[in-house]
Amino acid sequence: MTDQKPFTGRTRQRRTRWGVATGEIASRTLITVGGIGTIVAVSTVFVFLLWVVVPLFLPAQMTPAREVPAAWIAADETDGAVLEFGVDEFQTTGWVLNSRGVVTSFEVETGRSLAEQDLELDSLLTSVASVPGYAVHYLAGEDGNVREADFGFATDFLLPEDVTEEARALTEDQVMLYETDDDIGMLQKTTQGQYRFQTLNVDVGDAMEFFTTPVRLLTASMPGNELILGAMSNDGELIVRRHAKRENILTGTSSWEEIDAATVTIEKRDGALPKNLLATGAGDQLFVIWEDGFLRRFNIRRLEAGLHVAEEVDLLPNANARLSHVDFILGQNTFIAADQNGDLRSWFNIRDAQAATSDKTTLVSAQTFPPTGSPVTAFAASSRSRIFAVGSHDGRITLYQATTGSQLATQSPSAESSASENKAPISHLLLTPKDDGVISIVGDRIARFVLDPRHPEATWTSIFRPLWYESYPEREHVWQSSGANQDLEPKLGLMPLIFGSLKATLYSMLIGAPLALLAAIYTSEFLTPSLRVKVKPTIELMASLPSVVLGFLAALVFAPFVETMISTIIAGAFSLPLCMLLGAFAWQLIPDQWSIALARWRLLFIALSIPCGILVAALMAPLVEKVVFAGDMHRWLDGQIGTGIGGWFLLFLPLCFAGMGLVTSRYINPWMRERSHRHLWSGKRFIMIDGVKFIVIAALGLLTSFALALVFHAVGWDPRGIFFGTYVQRNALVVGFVMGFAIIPIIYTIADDALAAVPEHLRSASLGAGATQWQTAVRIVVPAATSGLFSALMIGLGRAVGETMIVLMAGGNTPIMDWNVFNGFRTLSANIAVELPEAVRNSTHYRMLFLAALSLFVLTFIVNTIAEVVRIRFRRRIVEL
Amino acid sequence: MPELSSAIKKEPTVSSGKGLKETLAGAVPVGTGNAGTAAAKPGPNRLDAIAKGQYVEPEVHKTVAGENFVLEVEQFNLWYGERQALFDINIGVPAGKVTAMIGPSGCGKSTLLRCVNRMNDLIDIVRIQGTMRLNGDSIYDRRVDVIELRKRMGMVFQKPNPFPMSIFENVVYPLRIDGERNKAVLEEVCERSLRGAALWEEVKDRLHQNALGLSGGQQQRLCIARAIAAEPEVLLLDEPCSALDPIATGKVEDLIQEIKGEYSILIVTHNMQQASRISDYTMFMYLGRMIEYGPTAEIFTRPHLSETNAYVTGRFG
Ligand SMILES: Nc1ncnc2c1ncn2[C@@H]1O[C@H](COP(=O)(O)OP(=O)(O)OP(=O)(O)O)[C@@H](O)[C@H]1O
Ligand SMILES: [Mg+2]
Repeated sequence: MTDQKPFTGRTRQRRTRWGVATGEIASRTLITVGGIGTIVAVSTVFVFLLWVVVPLFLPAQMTPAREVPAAWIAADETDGAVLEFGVDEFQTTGWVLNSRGVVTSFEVETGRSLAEQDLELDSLLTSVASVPGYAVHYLAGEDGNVREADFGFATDFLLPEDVTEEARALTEDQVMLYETDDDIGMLQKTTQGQYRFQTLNVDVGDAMEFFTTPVRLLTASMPGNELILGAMSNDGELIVRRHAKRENILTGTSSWEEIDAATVTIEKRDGALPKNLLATGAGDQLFVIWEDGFLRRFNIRRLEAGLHVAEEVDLLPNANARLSHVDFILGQNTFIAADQNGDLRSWFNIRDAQAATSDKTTLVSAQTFPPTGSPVTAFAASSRSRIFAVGSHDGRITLYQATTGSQLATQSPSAESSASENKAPISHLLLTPKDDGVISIVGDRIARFVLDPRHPEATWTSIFRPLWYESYPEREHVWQSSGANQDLEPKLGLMPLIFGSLKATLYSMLIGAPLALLAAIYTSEFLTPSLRVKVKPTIELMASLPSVVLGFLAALVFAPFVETMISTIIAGAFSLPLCMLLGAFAWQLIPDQWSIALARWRLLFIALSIPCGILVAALMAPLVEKVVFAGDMHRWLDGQIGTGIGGWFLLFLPLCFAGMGLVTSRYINPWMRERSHRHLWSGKRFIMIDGVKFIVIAALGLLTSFALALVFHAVGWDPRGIFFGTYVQRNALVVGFVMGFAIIPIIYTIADDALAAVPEHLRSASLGAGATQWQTAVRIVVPAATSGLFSALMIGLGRAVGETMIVLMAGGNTPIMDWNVFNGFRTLSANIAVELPEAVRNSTHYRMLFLAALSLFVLTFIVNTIAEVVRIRFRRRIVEL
Repeated sequence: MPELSSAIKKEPTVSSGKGLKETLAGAVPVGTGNAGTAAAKPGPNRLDAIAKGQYVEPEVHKTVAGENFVLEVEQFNLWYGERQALFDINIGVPAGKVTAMIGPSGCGKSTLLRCVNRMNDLIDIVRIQGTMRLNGDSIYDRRVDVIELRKRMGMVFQKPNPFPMSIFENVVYPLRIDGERNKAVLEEVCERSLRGAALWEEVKDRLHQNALGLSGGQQQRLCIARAIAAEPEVLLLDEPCSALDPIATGKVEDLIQEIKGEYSILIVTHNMQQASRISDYTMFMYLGRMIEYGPTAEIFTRPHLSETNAYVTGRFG
């Protein structure tokens, strides 16, 4: 160190002080931790969402649990074939009904037979009809009678002191055969330390006589409180009866009383009688199906009118194919037709106004399933969801989801059974009541599989592609996560919700973004700084309005208001800009001295044109309604009256005005400028001519748009149904206005800051070159601030995409895909808010809501990424400023 | 240069500023004797008086009063908020001549220049008093169209301020805002202006690259080109050469020499040689006041005031 004489009188210590160095390190660490922490937090949210969502797409699992011999099943061929079998919901006890009318209960775990109960039917059984989801079965016998049989499991809970010593030794989940004084059943110790005693009770009702000859086929369905039975004899006589429930108040029992019946004789086809009879769950259709795939449909809604053929369909496209199995799945609306090649198709009846059938409905094949490759020998439908299992001739069990058409799982025969001598096809199959197991009978063996179907109704296709849901006329995107009853399948198409989010965003951005940007340009470029400091906080104050308040106002005040004033609002959309432009002309026309003296009050005069515009709109509204909307806008929108011309006219009007404006600025304005130079027009003259030009151009715009509307109408297109449509009180327009209002402050603030950040010397340069403020703003300031303006828009967009309360309260929450401005929608966010409380934890629905959240996350992520990329590109251009 | 000359040949309307000439003439004690007395006055006293805020009679050579003024300034005062930056300025800028403004930093040269095309309107706190006339048209009249006024004057700022767009677009910006679309015209004007600003050779191959990629000196010449392209009546140059190397400076000076006579030029400079080389008249300002104003040769060789002499010879300032 030299002994330099300090110039300022102070010697500078050149070594960094300890405190400064520590501060440097501390702040750097803090910032690093904060930054990484933020990234970690966001990623954690993402990972967590993913964690909940991923199981939706995991495949179903079916694993062999146990295969046991059950020699008693086919102890004696003459003893009777197995007709039906069932199991209780805990998979402890099963039962088998054979054609002799004997019910054998057995222990599922070991295959041991427990007890036999002869139903004493005095006749061999020919057919059993069951109603999915019900314990009742209908048994048809060779005597021509049908009996109701209730295969119910009675559950009793015994206290430890009431059971035997042996039973007390049971450990949890262990099952034993147990006998009480009057019953025999299975005993199981529950986790609560109680003993669950399960017994099978079979109650057989009185015989209902159908024929004197054996019943060949039987079908049953229970719509509401009715019972429909359809039976066919070996002669081809078909009887359909409708019964009503009669409660006996005295005994407390109920019985079926016939209220309607119809008979028809079905002739043979190629020497064969039908193979199947199916009555739909709604009790309105009866399908008679032959083995060659021919189906005859009867509408049985009105039996008193007799049985008439409604439609005839061939279920098999291949002429040589033979049906092996036809049966309903849950709900008894969709049936699966399996043929001997192992091909599977689902069919259901839909309403179709164009159908050639007498009842305007038609049977359609909605899904084709991956084939099993081997003839189907057994079929089982779930009693709680729309999955079904088929067993095939080669011993394979395959699980399908009926709506998505996907194959969920497949299980080839176990090594044991394939090795065994009497390798046999699967003869009977069963999905346990809780969908947690599959039980099959192969020859004289019972095989049990543990099933975890996971979330079969959620697949990429079912979520993001249109799907043909039961009874829908065509493939559609539908979101309907829960229905009134269990039979209604959940429809998990997310597209309507994503569409809703985009629609809400689009309409609110259309309204909010231009307003916010123009306001920002106005305050930063035109307003004096002293006014600006007052205006800016005022607009920012708008942001402090909670969105729930906005939504509340939108739903209860604004929506009804818009509904009554809709034609005025539409008129205002045109009259307001018009009045502003005319006001600007008027301003030019007043003498210079005045205009300069009044310049301070220009804002006031601009504001004056707004009430003028509203007044004009109010005056014009009845006219607009009369001319454009045939006198009644709501009915016009509904498509009841009028033509599409008015709608096209309104749609083309802004386009035509924009086009005319472009033509004017490109061709007419330069020409006018030149002429005004050549002929030395005075300012006033120029403005007069300009005004005339404006009016002519406006008129031309009106005419072109009218002409275009006529052309479109002549082609046969109608905007109703695309851009317009039935008016719903809570709609996209209302949300657009209110959410537009909500996003204005945020866009405005950021945009205004971005504009203010443009260096003053650029403005000076532009103004110094003789540019007007508007030219400076448009040519210099806005381009220089593009990156900031873009960020502003994107942040507004992000806010609009995620906004919940406003769309929840004012958006109608109807998950439909419709661009109609006057129709509602349901956004991802609103959907989550509405449905999360009712979603059962870890259910498909619950996970779907998480998927909705993830979609929202991804949507905003994409928006923000695009925003950032574009922003960086713009910023690179002006980084040197 | 047909474009340039057509604009410049426009006969400057003879100023109606008789009053000003009389004021100027009246303000100056006629006769060298008087001037000699003034020069004999001890310098520090005058500067001290100014620093104390006392009124000091400005010294205007009588040759100035004989000129045709394109710009006249009368009793002009300016305040930035509470602080006064210009005091009682009375000057006339001769038409078709180069007038240089010299003076120590912060004396108000840029401020006065900005007042001429009303760029000070943009600063909220600025308050003015007095009149300015361009070719007889009042500049600060309420009825004046500021845009039209600025189109009559080209300005080059002290700090280069090119727009963040291509070099070509920068130069033709004044034409663009006039709605000129003819490509041939635009290109012609661009080339001539760039040649005039001695930039053409350097940028002719990269006309469509961003102007912000130019060096500071190139940017300043670009701004000069932009000012020329606007075909102004008066060119206001605020230290146009402060960021330029001697060669570019020489070229800009050549340009000024070339176009004077057609344009009237008001230039601020800290470079005494430059002022003496290019200007016809020079005014010396100090602390917001005009001190001495006369033909350049006189100001630099035999100024009336000793303070001026001290400044131009580099003994203070
Ligand atoms: N925008 C402003 N607000 C407040 N004061 C200002 C502003 N611009 C300039 N001034 C003040 O006015 C005075 C004159 O400034 P001006 O820029 O005119 O000086 P100048 O003569 O051009 O100096 P230089 O030769 O350094 O450019 C200075 O004291 C300055 O501080
Ligand atoms: Mg300066």
